[in-house]
Amino acid sequence: MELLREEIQNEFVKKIEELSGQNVYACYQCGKCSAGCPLVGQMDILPHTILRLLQMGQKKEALDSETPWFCATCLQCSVKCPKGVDVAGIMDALREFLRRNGVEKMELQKIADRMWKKIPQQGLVSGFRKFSS
Amino acid sequence: MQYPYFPGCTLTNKAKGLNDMAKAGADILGAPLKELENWYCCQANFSSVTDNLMNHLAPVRTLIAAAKEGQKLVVLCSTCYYVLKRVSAIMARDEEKRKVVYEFLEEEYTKPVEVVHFLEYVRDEVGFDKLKENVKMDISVLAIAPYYGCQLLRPSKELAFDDPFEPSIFEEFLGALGCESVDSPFKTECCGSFLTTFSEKGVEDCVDRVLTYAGKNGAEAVTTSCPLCNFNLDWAQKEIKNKNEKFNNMPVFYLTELMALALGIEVPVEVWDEHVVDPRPFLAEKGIVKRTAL
Ligand code: SF4
Ligand code: SF4
Repeated sequence: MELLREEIQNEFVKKIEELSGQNVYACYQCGKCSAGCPLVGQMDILPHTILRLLQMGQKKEALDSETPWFCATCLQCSVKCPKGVDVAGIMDALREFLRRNGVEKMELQKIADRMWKKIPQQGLVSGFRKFSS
Repeated sequence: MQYPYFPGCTLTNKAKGLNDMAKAGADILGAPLKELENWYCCQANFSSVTDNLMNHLAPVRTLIAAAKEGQKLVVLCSTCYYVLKRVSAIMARDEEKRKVVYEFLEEEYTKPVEVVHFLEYVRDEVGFDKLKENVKMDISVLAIAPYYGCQLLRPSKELAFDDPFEPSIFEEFLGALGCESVDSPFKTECCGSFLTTFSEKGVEDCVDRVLTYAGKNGAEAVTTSCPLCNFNLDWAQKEIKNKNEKFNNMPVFYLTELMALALGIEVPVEVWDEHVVDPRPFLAEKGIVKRTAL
């Protein structure tokens, strides 16, 4: 079977590549990103598998996954990737794509009830940035 | 040489221990921190998406203001350091983006300003030797694990702060203060960061790993330069302990609080009150603060 980039690289994948400035096809699936990710315990799909889904143009699977929301932008993956792929940037692009389509993950009431008095300003501001549209 | 200092929003509000103790310490060291006259919120996130420059505007404004006051800008909060340094790197390398930002701000980013962290400032402008000479109180009984977190070190090429895998500046700083600096395997791993607003479970998992292994290596407390790391490491302990009673709670200090103790500065009650795990019983037990002073 012949697999052509033109056939699997749909508009969605092009958008993610454009938003992140990354080439998802540079990834050769070594799994180093997932091996060093401190948040894999919370994720439903491993980071390198998200890359694979993007390579295969699997929009629904990539967007239905909780993984991008659990990415803390710690950049461990991005500094460790032997192919120079900024995996954290791709996670951010996925979140941004979802936010621009109206997805909202910030539950302010929960924060207000529990940690309002103590949470530093930067925690709230970055929370809004990452989780609310 | 005096350079402008950028405190940022959290330091002027919920992290006074970090800000006030830095200023008090810098005064003693003869390198006072003069607050930058016009500064703006760093935006708390570096926005990596390529088609939106909005989030870079406030940091650029800060950098333009700083360039008028000096060649370097001293920053203490790890997040502010990370965002300002990354935005300044974009402005330096991307002419097109620089132009768009200029057209919007009507103020040009012409002179690059070097963003330096407080630790670099003390090392390069004061010297760790001189810091050591100014120590008034013996704190050698404190075994402290420095926690770097993410935003001082990564992306390593852009920040060029220290070796991304084996950094040492924090250890050198603690060494100059005279306390025992304890190495720990997760000192450069994430605390969970902004996930604190989304998944406390995720943060607890990260914090548990960082603190448990610091403890196993002999640390009695940890220290950070980031209000968000500090908050997560401090706040998450209660729930971790609820789930696992073998977990040992430990105080989380700002690096400047330890500096203040070593330099003999009286740390105000309000500063200790900012903590979740109260460090006073620990410091009293070590004979660092007198019980009567609590
Ligand atoms: S580390 Fe890089 S090359 Fe390896 S799987 Fe992850 S993204 Fe792909
Ligand atoms: S940046 Fe995100 S995906 Fe990468 S290692 Fe950190 S948490 Fe995992």
